[in-house]
Amino acid sequence: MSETIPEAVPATRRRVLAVAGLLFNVGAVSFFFRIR
Amino acid sequence: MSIDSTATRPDVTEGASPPTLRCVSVQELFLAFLRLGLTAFGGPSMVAYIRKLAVERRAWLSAKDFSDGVALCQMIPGATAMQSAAYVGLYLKGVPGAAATYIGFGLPAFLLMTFFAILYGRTGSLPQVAAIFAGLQAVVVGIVANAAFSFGKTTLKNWKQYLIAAAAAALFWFNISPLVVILLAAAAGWLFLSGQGASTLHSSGPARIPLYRKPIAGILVVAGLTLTVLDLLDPDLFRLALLMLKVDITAFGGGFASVPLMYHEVVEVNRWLGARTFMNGIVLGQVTPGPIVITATFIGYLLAGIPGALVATASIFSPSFLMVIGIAPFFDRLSASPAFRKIIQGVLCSFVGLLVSVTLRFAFQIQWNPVYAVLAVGALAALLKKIDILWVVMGGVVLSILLIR
Repeated sequence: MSETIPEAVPATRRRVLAVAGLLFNVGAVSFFFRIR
Repeated sequence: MSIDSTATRPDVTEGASPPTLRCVSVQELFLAFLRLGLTAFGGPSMVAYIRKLAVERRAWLSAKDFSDGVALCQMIPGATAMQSAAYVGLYLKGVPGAAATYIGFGLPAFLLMTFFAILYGRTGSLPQVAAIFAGLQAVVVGIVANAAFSFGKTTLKNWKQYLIAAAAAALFWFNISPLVVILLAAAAGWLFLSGQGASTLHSSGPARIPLYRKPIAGILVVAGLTLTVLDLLDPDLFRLALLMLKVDITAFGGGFASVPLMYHEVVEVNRWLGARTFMNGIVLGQVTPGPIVITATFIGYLLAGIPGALVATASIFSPSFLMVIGIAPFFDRLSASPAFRKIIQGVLCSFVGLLVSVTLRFAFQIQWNPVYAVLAVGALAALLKKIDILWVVMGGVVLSILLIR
């Protein structure tokens, strides 16, 4: 109705996204630490 | 309070779900949603992840009951995915179950965002960080433009709805309070719209969820006492809490609906943060898992440290939680009411307008150059092509580093 909510997301895409997201977060945190 | 809802679900074998319902403990629910909350990158797709977990993998509820729950969560204010998580817990284990799934799903986002906010507070003014965020602010323009477009595409079906959205955009642009805009849109919806297609609820009504009077009353009393104590101890935190409560109560249509409301209150009315800092909070809300509403944690931290983060987060998530457990028992009657459907339709139209207006406001904050234009247009184009928001932001980071040097 408001946001378009997909019925399903392929498992592979979901996993790749999860791994990439976590790696990105770890990377961002370590970047912040390095320049601090 | 101790209603074992799993034992009395005659309709659980309906729909596409497997025929048997697995017993589940509150602890198991918490852990399952904690794991999901840590890995749920992807905006509206989060609801699909919850469906996969609860309907397909664990067979906790039928596809039909889940869809009805999502229809409820889309119609009431608050972050849809978080509320869908609460609905699953509520369905299975009553209020303790709802609290377990809600907190489990939101906790990783809260912790990560607090961590990012701490680091941002210490490094945000450094040139390298500022340069990256400057590029990402252009990406945010693309992201919010996409939210307005996606919201509009699914909400606006006829000229009257377009008119309400346009009027809302114009009123908000001229600094009329979003609350007034929403109320006017509700009245316009009630008077002029048909209410058709406002609900995706199945004809047989939603799952029979009892009204948990005592827990709801308990939560309200605790919330009232907490607010009173907060007002006595720290009036600034109290104001922050009230502001976030107000944003959550009025954020119809999902997480992104809270962006214009939060922006208006935090940046324009109270001038607690600058527009660009607010946009940086949106960026961080996109790269952390969980809902965009988690930007409230960032705002709370920047304003008042860890207590601020806690107060802002609790305030932005409490009303939508209460609404799920309070409204679920009545949702079949409510969504069958033509007046309610018309009003909700009007309100949702106004949010399309609010999002358009806030997109323009964000755009005016940027000192445009060709690189930023490429970032904003690229982000919008990628999102319209259904590329996940995480890739878009990550691409924005890489391009910001490469191009803005």
